[in-house]
Amino acid sequence: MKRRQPPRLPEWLLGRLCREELLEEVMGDMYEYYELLSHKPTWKRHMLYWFHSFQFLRPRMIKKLPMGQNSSFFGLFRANLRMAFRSYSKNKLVSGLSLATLVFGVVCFQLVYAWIRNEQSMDDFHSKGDRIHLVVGKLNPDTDWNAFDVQRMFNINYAEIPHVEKSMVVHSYRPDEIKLVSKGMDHRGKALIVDSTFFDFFDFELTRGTRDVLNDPQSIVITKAFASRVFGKEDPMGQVVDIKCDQTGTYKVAGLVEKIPSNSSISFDFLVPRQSSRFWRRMPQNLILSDVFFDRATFDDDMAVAKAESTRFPESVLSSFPLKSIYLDRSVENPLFAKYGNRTNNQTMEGVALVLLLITLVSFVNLQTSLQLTLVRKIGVKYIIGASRFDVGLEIAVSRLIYLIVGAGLGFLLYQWLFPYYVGLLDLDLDSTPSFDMLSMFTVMGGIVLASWLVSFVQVYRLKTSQAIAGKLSLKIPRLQRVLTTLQYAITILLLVATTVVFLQLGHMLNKDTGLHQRNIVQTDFFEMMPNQAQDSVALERMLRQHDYVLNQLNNHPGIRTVSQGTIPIDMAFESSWKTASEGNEYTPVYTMPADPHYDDVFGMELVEGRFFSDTLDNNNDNKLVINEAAKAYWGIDEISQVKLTTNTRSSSQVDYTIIGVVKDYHYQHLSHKIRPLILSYSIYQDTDVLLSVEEGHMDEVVAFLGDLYREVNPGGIFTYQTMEDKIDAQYAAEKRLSSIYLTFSVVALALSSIGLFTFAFHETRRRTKEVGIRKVSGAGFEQVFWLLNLSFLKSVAVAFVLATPLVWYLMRMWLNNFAYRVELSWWIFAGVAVLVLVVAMSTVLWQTISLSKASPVESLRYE
Amino acid sequence: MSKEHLGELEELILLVILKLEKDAYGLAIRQEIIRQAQRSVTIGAVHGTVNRLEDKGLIESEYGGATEERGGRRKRILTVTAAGLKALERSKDVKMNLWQQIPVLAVNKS
Repeated sequence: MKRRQPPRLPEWLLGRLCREELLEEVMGDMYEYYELLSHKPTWKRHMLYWFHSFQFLRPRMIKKLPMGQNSSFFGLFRANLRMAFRSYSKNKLVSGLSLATLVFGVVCFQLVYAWIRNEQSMDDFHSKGDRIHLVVGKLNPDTDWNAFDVQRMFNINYAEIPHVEKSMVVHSYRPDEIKLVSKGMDHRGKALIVDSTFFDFFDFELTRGTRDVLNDPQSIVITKAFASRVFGKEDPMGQVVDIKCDQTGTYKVAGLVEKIPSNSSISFDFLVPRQSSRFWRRMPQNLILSDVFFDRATFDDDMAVAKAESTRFPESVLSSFPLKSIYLDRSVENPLFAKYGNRTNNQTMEGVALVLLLITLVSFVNLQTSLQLTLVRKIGVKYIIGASRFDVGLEIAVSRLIYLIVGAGLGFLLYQWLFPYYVGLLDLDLDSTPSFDMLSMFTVMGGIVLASWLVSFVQVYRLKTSQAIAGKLSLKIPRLQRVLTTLQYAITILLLVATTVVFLQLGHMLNKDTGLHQRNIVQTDFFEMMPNQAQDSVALERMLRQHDYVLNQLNNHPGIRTVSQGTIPIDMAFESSWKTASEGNEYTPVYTMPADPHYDDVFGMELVEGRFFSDTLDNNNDNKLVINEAAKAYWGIDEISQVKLTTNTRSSSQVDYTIIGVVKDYHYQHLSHKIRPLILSYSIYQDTDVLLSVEEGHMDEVVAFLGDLYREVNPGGIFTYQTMEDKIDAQYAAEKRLSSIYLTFSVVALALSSIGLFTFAFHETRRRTKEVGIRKVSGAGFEQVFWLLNLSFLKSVAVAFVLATPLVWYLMRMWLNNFAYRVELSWWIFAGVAVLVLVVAMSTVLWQTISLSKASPVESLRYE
Repeated sequence: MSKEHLGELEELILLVILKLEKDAYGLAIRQEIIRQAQRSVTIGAVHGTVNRLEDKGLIESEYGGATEERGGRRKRILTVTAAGLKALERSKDVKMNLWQQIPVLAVNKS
């Protein structure tokens, strides 16, 4: 009978792995063993053969790895490690700077990247996020898209629209519109009044309660943060609370949301089931959950058909926006969304991240290459002794690996330490994700270290042993590195100029005369939303009494100059459609704001023509308007008494409005806009916020008085107020953030570039030590040598400046074009930045060049 | 000194080599251990121990002739050296000595 051969694979493996001197014996025994097993079933025979083969894999039997002259891989590794540490301690300065560059640069990059990632993942955590759409519409084609209650206004049944699986109606109440009362204390928070399908749409994490909790009309869901504000350490579940807004009701806390993630554009403090009351006064929004075949154009058509049955708004158009696009496009603004992103801002940040990464990469590679250059002779010697290229490559790799490991550890600590400051300083809404950040930092550092290894290895690979030993090799810094350092400086100059311009523009906007008084103006919300007279006439009467009492108190306070009711006119004007009544003109959108008779006094508005509203002459239903000069010019009005205005936004029937006065233009919007036409309409409602103009120096006293009065009128309530100066600050928050981002990172860029230049100087001075000695012996003085050494550095900074200037001039002109009122791009910004960069660059270089220029030639010639 | 102490498997293998005389090689040792001690060791374990013993200088080896049943490979025949015999004897002495110090009663009881 033919002998069965043992399985090939384990034999082959043994042949590869087992030491040669043992192989014959081992294979022989295994072969014999296989024969011994011949009575067993084949599978068992094979299994046993495999098992025994694996048992040979023990340290004594495995081949040593093929490693040059050294006996073991780990021994070599240890030797390399020792060598690396020796080289660190010999070049403490450069190694220290390398490590600092790596850690600092990558941590800064990661900080920016964490923010970008948060922006990009906005609303991604909702698993059905791609299928959620906000229903929007326009009542006539001229207006912006608006999210109103399409379902009710057009009597639409979403269940009949194809590809719509579920729908939800949401009312959003801002903290000043709703309060949660627990044990007699008021707590204000943002509330969403939602259908029970809320958790079918959104994936907010519920720590307590089930996802169908909102089916029960008496249950509310609150966030953990809000719960601890309201209930302290008590268990919030099962607590009984009252909700008060235009409706009141008693509810039980039945669900707890862990946290609103920082990458959620929708936020709330508590959720109230919509079916708990028949009617909510706030205009709601409609959200739909589509299936995967949803198509916007088809939906628009279907909606057009569905709304045709209701003829109330014949000119209207309906559509939808995907949830995920709303954050960045800002296509529709409404209180459901807590925040909006900004594409340009994101692009800027991406640019900043990229620049940081590049600068770090270039700096680290430059530092390491210059360090490697000083080791050229050593490597030559190594080659002669018989080291292979592999050995040398490994040596470099080991030394870089230490940077990576130490750098990653330090980087992580630094990151954890800096993160809270970063979030605080730039006022970001950002969750920390330590494990991901660690991984991403490690990857980036790994990439940088790998790049530096490749560059060094290529350098060493090309090295000719004989030249290295004989010292014939040019130790000059490669041209590429010089170019890169110059580029780094160019970027730094660019960032610095940008920072300066942003700062100047910010200062310009904050200090510009807007035509209004800005100091000592306070706005506070004294009164709750007016109760509906039909529902609760007693409450209405009580409120009107309170209103009279409060206004009386305020008017009699000596520290208060003027009392008015309304809002601070910053970004609070809204567009509605107007036209002059006499002609057959089209309606166009014009900004409109309400005002009461004392409004002009509070802000010091100047009247150009006619009169402002007055207590005695005007009334809510008088249809009288005050316009600004821009509006007068816009309609080309010569004589205000001759022209009447009309709108189609307020009622369907045409009503003519009389213009009673013209105010001098003032800024009521962000200064990126020119002053646009504005209409002030007469309005007195008791529940509007109170506006006060305070006598100079009485601010603290008045605020204390307001607080007491507020608590007297609203026991248990929490007093809040806003000053005009705060609002202006908030208005320019985006520019402020941009300027602090630029400032932070241009300082980082400057520091990293300076480190790069420092290394060059360090290397150059060492290389030219002898040369300087010879020059001095031949009669050169300190001055000549000094300039000779410094000129090359000056040159690279100068080239960088020439490169950066036109580019940054162009970019900044583009940015400034966003603003109607802007600072000039004057030459001294550039000159200032140039001087700053030169001073910093020279101060990193000077110490070394001076000490070399001063050195006695005897010393420098004896060097080495 | 560690070189002179024998592990349990080492001692067993030394004894088996002595018993097998001219026919002591890896697989035969394994089979003998199974037969004598009803103890299943892998071939790898035997080889590992044998190599260790050789490093300690307790056994020697030479190659025998190539045979058909090994696929034309030679056997490595093992013999115990003088040092190996000495180590075995010392190990035996230590154990005998200990055994003799144990009261007969205590042993019978168990």
